[in-house]
Amino acid sequence: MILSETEAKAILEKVISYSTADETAAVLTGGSGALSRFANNAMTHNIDKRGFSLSVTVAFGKKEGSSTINKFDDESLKGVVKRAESIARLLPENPEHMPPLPPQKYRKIEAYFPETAEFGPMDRAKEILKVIQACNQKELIAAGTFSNGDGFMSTANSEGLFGYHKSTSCGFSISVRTQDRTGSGRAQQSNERRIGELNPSQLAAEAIRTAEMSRNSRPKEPGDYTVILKPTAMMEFFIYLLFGFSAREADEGRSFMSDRKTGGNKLGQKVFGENITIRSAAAHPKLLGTPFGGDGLPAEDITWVEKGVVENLSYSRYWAAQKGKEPTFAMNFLMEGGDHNIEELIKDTEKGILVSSFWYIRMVDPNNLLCTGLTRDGTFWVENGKIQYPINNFRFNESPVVLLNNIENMTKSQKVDFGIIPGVKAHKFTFSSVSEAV
Amino acid sequence: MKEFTDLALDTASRKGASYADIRICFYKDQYISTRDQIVTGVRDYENSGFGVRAFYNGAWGFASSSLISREEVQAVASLAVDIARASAMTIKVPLELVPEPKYVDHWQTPFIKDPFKIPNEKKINLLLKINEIMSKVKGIKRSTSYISFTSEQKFFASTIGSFIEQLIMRSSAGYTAVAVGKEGFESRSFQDFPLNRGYEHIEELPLIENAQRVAEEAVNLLTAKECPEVVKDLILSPSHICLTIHESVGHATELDRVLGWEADLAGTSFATTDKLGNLKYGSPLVNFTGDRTLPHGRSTCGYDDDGVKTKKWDIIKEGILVGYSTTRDTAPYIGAKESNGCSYADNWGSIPILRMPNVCLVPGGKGAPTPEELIADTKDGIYIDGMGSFSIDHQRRNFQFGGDAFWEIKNGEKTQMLKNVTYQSTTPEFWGSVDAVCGEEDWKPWSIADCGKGQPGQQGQMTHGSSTIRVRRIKVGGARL
Repeated sequence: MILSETEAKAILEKVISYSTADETAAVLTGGSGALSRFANNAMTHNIDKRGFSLSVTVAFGKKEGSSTINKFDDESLKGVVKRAESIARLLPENPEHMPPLPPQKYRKIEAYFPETAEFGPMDRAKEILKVIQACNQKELIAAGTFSNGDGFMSTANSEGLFGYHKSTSCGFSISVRTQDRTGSGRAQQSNERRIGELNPSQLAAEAIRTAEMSRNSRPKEPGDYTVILKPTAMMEFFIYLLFGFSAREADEGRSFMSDRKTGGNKLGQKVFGENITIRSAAAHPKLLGTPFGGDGLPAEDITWVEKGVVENLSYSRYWAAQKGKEPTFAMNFLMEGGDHNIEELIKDTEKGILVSSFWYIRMVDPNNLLCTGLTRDGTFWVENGKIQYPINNFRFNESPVVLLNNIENMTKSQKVDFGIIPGVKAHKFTFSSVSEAV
Repeated sequence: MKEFTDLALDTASRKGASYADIRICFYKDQYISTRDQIVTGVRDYENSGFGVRAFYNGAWGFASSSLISREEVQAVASLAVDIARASAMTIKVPLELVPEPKYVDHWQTPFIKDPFKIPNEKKINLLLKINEIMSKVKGIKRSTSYISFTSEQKFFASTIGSFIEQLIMRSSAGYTAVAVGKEGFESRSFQDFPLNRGYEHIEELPLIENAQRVAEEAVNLLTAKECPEVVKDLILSPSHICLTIHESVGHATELDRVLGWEADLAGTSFATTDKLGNLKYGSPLVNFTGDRTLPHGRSTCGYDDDGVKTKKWDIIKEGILVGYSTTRDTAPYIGAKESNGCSYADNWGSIPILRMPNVCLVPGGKGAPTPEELIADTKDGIYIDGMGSFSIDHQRRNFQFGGDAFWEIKNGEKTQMLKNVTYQSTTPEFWGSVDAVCGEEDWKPWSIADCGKGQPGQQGQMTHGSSTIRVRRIKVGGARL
């Protein structure tokens, strides 16, 4: 259900031509997605979805209104514009209204691969069957998903801006548990563009290995420990740091990036360890993100943190105009890593805990980004440079800001979901209680 | 509609499906938000499409499209069977469906005022007025308000012969004040209990009446005393306990996750089927029902998305696990003869999955205390109002909850506010420590409007009514840097 650039442009131009407002902007998205889901070594759900969505925003002066539909006949297109206009006419002015962007230059990111879109239900079933058979042979219980699909996004406005981007995506996840329910392991690839990048059998082997290794775990006292976080675990926790990068929240005192002494933000201050550098790279070949956002802002290369110093915060168009800054739009992030691998981090650890992944992380205190959550699918005690035995899962209460000040060593960065991130070894990570969940 | 539903069912049957159903859905959503004195959004959404589910050799296939036409219905129904055939390749033990009679019926949420016919101006003025009151309180740096409505109209037809039309109407509103001081920032919210009603629900909510109090409490939180790391008795309001019920009882007793169907992401449950009828889940005062017929409940409807007539049943009785949420394909695993009607898809493009019903705590009986009597009877405790931070392990035992506002209870009196209160416990320990459940006059239908579950994720909504409860000797304050 992909519309071509020409087809998308024709619909958007028609929408804009129906508008009587001073300003009109529209975003058209669509595509198809399929997902096969399995549990207890058999398929449980298997779906296919195709559809479109059109969102129209208009403004009379500074009065704004918007409306969304998923039909494209002329009557529906006229109706959605009319509805947005009638909403706008009745509203008070928005003093933060920003005029539509003029035409922009976007990078060309080739992210559509037909073989990914064409992978069918039988193809997915065959791959799933292989990993189920691998688990059956070892009397293990598998659950997971295999997804693939395609999509497009097109944006246009009454100032002549136009953008179109199409992409494919696919992913595979597998969780493996032992028959006695004492061991579990999980592996996943997500947000891949090419079906050939997926390796279900390799992921299954990794999940099987962790499940067998984590069988019959022992309890360990809660407390502060040195941790080795695999890249997946690091990514799951790191995401919560990104909540703190809004410039407006920082400037208004509502963020951990607010400087309580000056009343401003922490731009230019050293907030993290010397070894922390975080960037966004719009056209990174492993991520192949979207070249523009819904309002037409181009995705940019941005350095957020350089050697622990905050170099940039995230600015909306309105806040950037207020503060004399450039607005930001980023679709991905990359954290610079070291030159080790996980095995070397383990070898370098006298006493510590290896964490495969986290679960159910939630913010507890946004003032300092204190979060809580639990370890899951493979937690191990490391001593004298070796994994000694599996341990029960822990609940933690910790802040990613503290973690990024306590990192001693890192692996090479690797792709995890929509980012590039390393595994890390860090000291003084706070575990507060034991969980018996497997 | 019948033309399309007949075509879909006929196509699926001809291609070999032993059972098939189709939902043709039309959704309308409106979300209005304001910040300080600015209208930040008035967004109207219209969304329609259909989904066909086919059952072949004990396996499911599902396909859907936003284009409702004869050609598309035929193509999608055919694809659903192809997908089911692919699923069947992996099945060793075919799924079974418990029987259900055929229904030809129409059902709708009882409502008085269609929220989509109320002028936007009236809704916006209400939100701006709330913000104005909150912004006048010294120390408030940001006030936000929202109002939200959904109309879900769907036509369900199945090869059993059912043809059911339903209209579900949902309304909610709420607001938050953020105070900023040299100590940092704190927020306090008016958390509505979103219900399935019309605009009359918004008109009956004490929104304006509470705006100043909410803002003042946000400011008070800035200088409130830090919660110590100790063991305390907790008195929990219905607005707070809603989320604890949701996470530790509602999800734990969904039969699909008990069976391992959610093992890859959401997890499983400690309340396994071998413990049905004997697991001590809580104290004898603890009784929970599953109920999709609760008047105005967020999960209430006439029929679920399997075409099963909705009902009420026991989940925990006098502290013992006695029931689960079930669907037609999970019920056989506990030997049930019929489904409890918990199938739901959040969109025409989503496959129906087992979703939590309204799971409610039964109020205390004759002689049950009032919240005031409970406080008077508590020597050293904390009173918690509203929902806050929440996290629970993937088998629904070890949990940690925060809240929206907290007061210290000393020698039978609610005294100063506390901040950064969290409590840590496990499901059986927590519910086993309940020593008081207030009476029916205190019972309120608080709700969750954005519960995520499934792969790909779906949004669900459900009500968790309860009265105020007291829980003895729970560890608090364990979350700190």
